Amino acid sequence: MKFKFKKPVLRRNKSNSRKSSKKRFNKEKVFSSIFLILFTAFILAATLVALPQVDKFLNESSYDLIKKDDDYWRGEYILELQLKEGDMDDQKVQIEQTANIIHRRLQRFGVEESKVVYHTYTDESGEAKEYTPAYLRVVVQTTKQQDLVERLIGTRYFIRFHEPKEGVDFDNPDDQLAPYMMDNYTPTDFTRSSFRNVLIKKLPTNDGSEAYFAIFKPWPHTAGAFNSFMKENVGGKIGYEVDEFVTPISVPVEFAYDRGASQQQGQSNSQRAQFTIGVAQTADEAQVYDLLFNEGQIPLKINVADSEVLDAEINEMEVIDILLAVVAGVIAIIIFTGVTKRGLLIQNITFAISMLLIVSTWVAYLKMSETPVDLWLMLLEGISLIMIVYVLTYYRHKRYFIEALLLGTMLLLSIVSDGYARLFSQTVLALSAFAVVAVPLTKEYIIYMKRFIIK
Amino acid sequence: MRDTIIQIFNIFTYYEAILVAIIILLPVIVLSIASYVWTKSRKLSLIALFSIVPLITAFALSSFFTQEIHEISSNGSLQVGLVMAIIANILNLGILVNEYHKELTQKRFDPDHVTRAHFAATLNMVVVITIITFVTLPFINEELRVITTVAYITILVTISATHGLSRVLLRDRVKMDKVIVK
Repeated sequence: MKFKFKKPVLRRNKSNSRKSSKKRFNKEKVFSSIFLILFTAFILAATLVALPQVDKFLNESSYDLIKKDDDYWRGEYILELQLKEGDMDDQKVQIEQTANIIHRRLQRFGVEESKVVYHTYTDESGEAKEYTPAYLRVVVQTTKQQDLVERLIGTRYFIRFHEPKEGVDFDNPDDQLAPYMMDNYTPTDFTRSSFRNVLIKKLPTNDGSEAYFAIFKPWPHTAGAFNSFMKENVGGKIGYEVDEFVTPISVPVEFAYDRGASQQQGQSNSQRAQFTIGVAQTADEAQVYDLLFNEGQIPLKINVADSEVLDAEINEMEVIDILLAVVAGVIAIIIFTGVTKRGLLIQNITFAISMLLIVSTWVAYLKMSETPVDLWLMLLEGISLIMIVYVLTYYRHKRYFIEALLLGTMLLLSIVSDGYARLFSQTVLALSAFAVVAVPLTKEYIIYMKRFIIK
Repeated sequence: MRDTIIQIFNIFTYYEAILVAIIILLPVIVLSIASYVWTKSRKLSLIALFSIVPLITAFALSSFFTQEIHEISSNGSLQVGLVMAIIANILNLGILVNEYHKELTQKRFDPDHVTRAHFAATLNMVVVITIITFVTLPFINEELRVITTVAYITILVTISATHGLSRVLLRDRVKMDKVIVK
């Protein structure tokens, strides 16, 4: 006879079973309820803040979208380059280098629109010049501070260190301009090229406040010689020239303790005394100095021959038009997918709610952070967002590859592009990252909501 | 000709030329490397790389003719249209690579399934982009119309050409030969 094993039936403890089922029930229900409440509240709050003209109903807070239009200014500058005598090809290369450096400075500073082109210009002053002039025309349109942008365009920022001539008394009260006269100094070979990098850093000052300082990091092969030069002048003054203007600088005592050129091999830059000079008070100014120091050295002397501030060319739009365009786009796509049965009902709802969530959060953030925006750019970002959310919602297979690809591409574009394209790429990167999270979250929300309604 | 290209791509210095080249080439190169690593298919990588040709051609021609028609010269804002076209191209290529990888996991690999699924995705995308473009046109001004039209034409030509290329390159030659023999 075959033995048949009978599974023992355990008598459950009534109180335990009730407890466990209660626990399971609570966990799921509490989680779903909290999720539903939070998600609904977030969408409603974001939508209310994002709606146009909402500030009219709120007396205390200003929830208006700030347009960049009024902050734009447009300027045109004619730069005169003082060409050195020599080969025509060398001159051409120097003009190209100058144009590239100026454009790079403007682009890194975040100037929205910039053009640097060769220009034919007739100097009406009729003065005889010791050099052959060449001209560049620089056109900018930006919301950045005008004086800072002009500094980036019109400054060569050539640096050279000078040694005071023997017998010159800088403390003579009868000749107070002596420290500022180039004739009282002997130029050295130490220029910007002697330094690997100039680091701009916020440091405390003597009076307890903070300011931005430029820290000169020499190349390993010039560090010893530079520190020896500084050591020789400890306690005295050296000349620091920027574009043919010299300023006396006291050499700090730290250089006296530097071991100098004789032991440079085993000494790292961090162990050495470093030349530091105060440059700016504000972050924007510090950024300008960073660009002037580190975005290449203009090979020619330059000066602004002519400049003109023009009316900004603005692509004017209204917030309501953008909102209508995006809403119409979303509705049209839902109708199309619904009529042609290309998408499931849940996909259509997910698409609509995802777009509502992303757009309202985006606009609410812009309003609350008071970030100025280009409305025409916002519309193009909205169109791109519709395209991205459509693919993320309706593409049924695994999307990890597409998501990673999209985010990677946007990251690359936001790093390498310039002007409006960079602003566009940065916003679309942020929106894509949000969409990657928001679309699956919205799908879950709809599933929970469906269960909740059916119950 | 030179001035037109300079104006269309907003290239006034060598630095800008390098930037534009990087903007166009880098995403596609990264994609083709990623697709090769994922699918081990050289043809897919080639399709990704070749998609640059219709993209640049369509962008240059549509920019030129649209600006001529509207008598508007955009200052740098056209580059946004180029970036939009690059995004659409990357999404389209991403779907193609994804479909190819999905087919690789099936018991019997059939490239026709890949091209058919990609065709459906491309067609959907074309329709959606057409809808968005035409629905938004009434709400926008003339300069924006130029940008959206340029982006629309570039996207349309690029993703259609890429799909055509995938049809040619991913054709199942063995299966075709059998059909011919029969």
